[in-house]
Amino acid sequence: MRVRFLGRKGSLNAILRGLGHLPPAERPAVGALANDVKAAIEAGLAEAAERLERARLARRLAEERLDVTLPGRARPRGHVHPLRAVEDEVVDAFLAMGFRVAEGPEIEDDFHNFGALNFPPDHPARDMQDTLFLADGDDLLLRTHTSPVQIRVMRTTAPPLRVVVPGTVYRRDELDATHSPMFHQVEGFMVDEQVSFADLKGVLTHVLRRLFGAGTGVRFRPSFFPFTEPSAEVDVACVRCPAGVPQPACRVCRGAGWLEILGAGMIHPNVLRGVGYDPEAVRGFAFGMGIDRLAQLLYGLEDLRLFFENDLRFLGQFPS
Amino acid sequence: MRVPLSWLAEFVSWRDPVAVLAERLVMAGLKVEAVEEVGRLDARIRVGRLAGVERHPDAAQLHVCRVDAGGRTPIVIVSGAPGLRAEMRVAVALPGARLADGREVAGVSLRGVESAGVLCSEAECGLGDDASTVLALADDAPVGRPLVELAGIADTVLELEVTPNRGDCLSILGVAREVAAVTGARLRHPRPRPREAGGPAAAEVRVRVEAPDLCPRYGARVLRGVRVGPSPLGLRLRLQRAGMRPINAVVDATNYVMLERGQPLHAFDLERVAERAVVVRRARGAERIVTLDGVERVLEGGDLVIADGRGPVAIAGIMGGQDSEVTAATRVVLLESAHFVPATVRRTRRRLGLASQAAHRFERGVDPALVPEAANAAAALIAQLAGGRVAPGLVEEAPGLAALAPPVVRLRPRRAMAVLGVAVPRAEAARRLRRLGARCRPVGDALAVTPPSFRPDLRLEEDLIEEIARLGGYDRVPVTLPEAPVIGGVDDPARAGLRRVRRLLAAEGLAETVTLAFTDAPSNRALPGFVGRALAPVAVRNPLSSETGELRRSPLSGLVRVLRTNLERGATFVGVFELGKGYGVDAGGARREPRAVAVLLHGAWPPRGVERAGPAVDFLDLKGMIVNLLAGLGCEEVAVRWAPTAEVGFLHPGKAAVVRLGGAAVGVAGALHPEVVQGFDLAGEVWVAELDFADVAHYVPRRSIPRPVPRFPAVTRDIAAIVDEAFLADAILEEVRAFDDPRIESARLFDCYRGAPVAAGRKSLAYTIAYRAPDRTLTDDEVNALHARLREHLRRRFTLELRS
Repeated sequence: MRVRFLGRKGSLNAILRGLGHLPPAERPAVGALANDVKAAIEAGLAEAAERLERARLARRLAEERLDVTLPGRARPRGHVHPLRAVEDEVVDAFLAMGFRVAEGPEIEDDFHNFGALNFPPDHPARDMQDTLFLADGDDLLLRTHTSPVQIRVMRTTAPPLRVVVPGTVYRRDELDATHSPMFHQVEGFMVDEQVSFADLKGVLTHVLRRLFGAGTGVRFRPSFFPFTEPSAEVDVACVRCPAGVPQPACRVCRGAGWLEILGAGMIHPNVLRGVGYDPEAVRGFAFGMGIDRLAQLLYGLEDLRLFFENDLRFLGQFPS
Repeated sequence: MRVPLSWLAEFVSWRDPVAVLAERLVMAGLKVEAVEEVGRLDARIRVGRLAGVERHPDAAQLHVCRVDAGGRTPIVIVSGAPGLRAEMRVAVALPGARLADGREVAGVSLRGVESAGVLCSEAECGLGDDASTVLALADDAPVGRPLVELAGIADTVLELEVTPNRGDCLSILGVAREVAAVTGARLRHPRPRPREAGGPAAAEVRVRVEAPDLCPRYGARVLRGVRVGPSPLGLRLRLQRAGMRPINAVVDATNYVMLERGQPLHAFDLERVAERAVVVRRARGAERIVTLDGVERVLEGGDLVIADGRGPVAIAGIMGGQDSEVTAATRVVLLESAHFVPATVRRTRRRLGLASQAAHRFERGVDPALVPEAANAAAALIAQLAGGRVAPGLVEEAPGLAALAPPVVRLRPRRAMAVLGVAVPRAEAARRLRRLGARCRPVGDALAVTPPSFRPDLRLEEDLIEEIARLGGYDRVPVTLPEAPVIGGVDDPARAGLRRVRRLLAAEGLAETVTLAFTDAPSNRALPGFVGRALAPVAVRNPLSSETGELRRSPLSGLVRVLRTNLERGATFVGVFELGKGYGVDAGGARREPRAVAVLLHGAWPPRGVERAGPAVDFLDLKGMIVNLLAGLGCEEVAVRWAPTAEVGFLHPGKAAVVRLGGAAVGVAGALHPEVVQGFDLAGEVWVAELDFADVAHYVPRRSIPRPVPRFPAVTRDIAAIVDEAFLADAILEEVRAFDDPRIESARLFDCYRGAPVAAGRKSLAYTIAYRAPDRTLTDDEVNALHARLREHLRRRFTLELRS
């Protein structure tokens, strides 16, 4: 059709070619008419073509089907260990408050782990932390807490200091539901001219509420650590018990309504003096929390061993 | 420390319910671990009077008892217990009563006689360990009354966690003092004195302290004519509930006074103390003593002992000796009440591995003022329980007493405010400290504070500041934030790097593990890893077991165990990584703990899409992960090289590679050596990689600068070579790189073919080479000429058989 009417030898072109034979007065009208006719035919043709195309597409779309419920070709998804995820969360909370990260060796000596932290020799405070010693070297041990890093940092750096110390620590405990010979702590300390116990309460309350949720109950109660004075244990309201109402049968807090979450205090003047600071000129606070226990509480896990068994059916439930 | 509340109530009164009292103690620093109800006996266990005891007609060892249990008529109970006699008051469980072991009492017929209950032993009542005979009650016990209603049977026990600085709270009196300080109640502190009779004690025994530095004060009392029997039920119950086992009246009395007042005491049979003289001295060489627990102990020169004319009769402050022990035959008792220095007790106790209640208290500091008080109280109690006359006088040597006097500590209210962040007026500080028994007097604008003798932990201003805060309540200290410059914190660069590694490996589909750093010696020998290749193993001196006897040299030892655990539990794909340390001693003798990136891959990939299972994992999967990791960290691809190695002992010599970065070896990857696999009770191919994180981090650029995007098209040409099986695919790529024409943009292997028509033992490698110029489109002629030169170079270099 296109060729018959619109082609080079088509009838419309013949008309247009024949325009020269017409009287000049008629030429525009016939030309215009011929062009209109040409346009109308072209439009009609285009429309027909489009209709056909649409019909073809409709037929194709009606035929082509894929099963979107087939399983996707995903690569296996990886997983970050929950202890590392919680450690990062805690460290990030302190980074946001201007603390910097420091780390230290896990193989320590008696001086950094005990002596410099005001544990006198032959003092029962040493029994609070049953220690694993190394076979060679009288003095060497696996650090029982991250506090020796306090000493390492303070001996080499002048105040003001805001430092947070994540790390692995060791105690002579069998692995069971609540103990492990190896676990993880995040230690932190701040030293400056004007730092008080009230500030310690402020910093820790802020961080604990960031971890456990705004409005979480936080309480400080007196305790004892050789390297802090005054010393405190810090509890958060039980994560399982409904707000403010301890449940006697609660397996998490055992009816107490509170969970011991960290130890803290003002750095002992003997410790400050030992690293060459003047306790009359600067003061500091320090704290340490167990990441494993924190992770247990945050994830609602009763058995600590899950973290160290690394059963993929457990790890596989954590995001990458 | 276990505190029966009936006992505590003898020294202080409180109005609060137990839960509230416990809470107040917790908030004052005396943590209540548990509140335990004890002695809540079934009300059907009654006081019974044996109205008659007769032999069972058909069983020689049974008795038929008529028992008055408060009913209108006596009941008949058949019992096999020894020692039954008429008029005894005993514990009778009536039918329906539940005994301590959970049994319910029912009427039964015993050899034809109906028995309407049980005569209970101490154990059946849940009041002690003795199951050998019936529980005999006092002769004036009210017949028919439920046992649970008798004084001292039902009680509540607070279990306290006492911190090592608060030795003063290791006694009922000490806890009462704390309750008084916290609640404001008045403390009752009776100091009983014995009635004395006969010749002076000093005539019976001589005391000499030869080590005044270790024993500043030693006191002794003497009792004559004692009759040693069991203690009465009430006292035994208190001892048990406080955590001690009753022994006999004399020993029980010393333990009772220790629990009550905090002063450890020891009773000797004075007639078995040679020459009736005791000397407090250091042990001489390897002296021996058999302690009360029946174990022979070898002493060392530094140990403090109590010795008689023959040798040691007690290890000072820890445990007495068997030879001078008080027994049923003892008639004359020497009662020791002494003060020993904490450190000496601790050293000896630890060396001998000999824990005792006495040592526990001495190590934490006992009030030196207690020596006479406790001796008097115990002498009075022994006289009451075991008869005997207390010889007049305390035989005492106190060569070091003056040195134990508490110092005067200055307290500046301004300092207290600076430390706490809240003002405590001087008068208020003084009030709180006086509640603890301290003496305070104002000096200038400070306080001069003399702590009480029972608080050796109060020696510094900070110690007093804590007490002030504690009694005021930590919850009354405000919550403020420190003033500090507004500068954000920074992570440690290495730690930040590890966080990136963690995300990258997790993105490869691997699960992160955290494994214990311990291993056994054979495993540590077999699996040094890469980071531990030049480290000697480090052993633990006091491991819990041989499986944890050494620190691992490589985290791979943890990953291999993770593999085993998961295979045992049915896993078919194990892809794990650990960012952990290896530990060891380097050639220079220094302890090292390098951080490793360890990866383990085993099994078949999980199905990807519609398939039953994915393909088995292989080396190229592992390599791809490491390549992606390094690229993800920003390492230039061209800086990474993989070279075969047969030198890594724990890897299969034909399936192992060294990973080089910028020319230095930073790690290894490959299949675990079959012997290592077998050694860990595994089978099949276990793919592992380990990189030294510090070495990798050294090459990681802080920021990667991108190259310009090419504006002109690349032209590609292929080269195929037939080579021997042993030929390394990378050799050709190396050579192409070395050809060093700027127009060669890249070269990549795209096919590796074995089989016809390629001869056996040979393989066909096909590469595609991309040519590009940055400033123009290369012409076919130019590329063809360049490609021909490259082909010719490769052919000559390797004497290759090139295919077109």
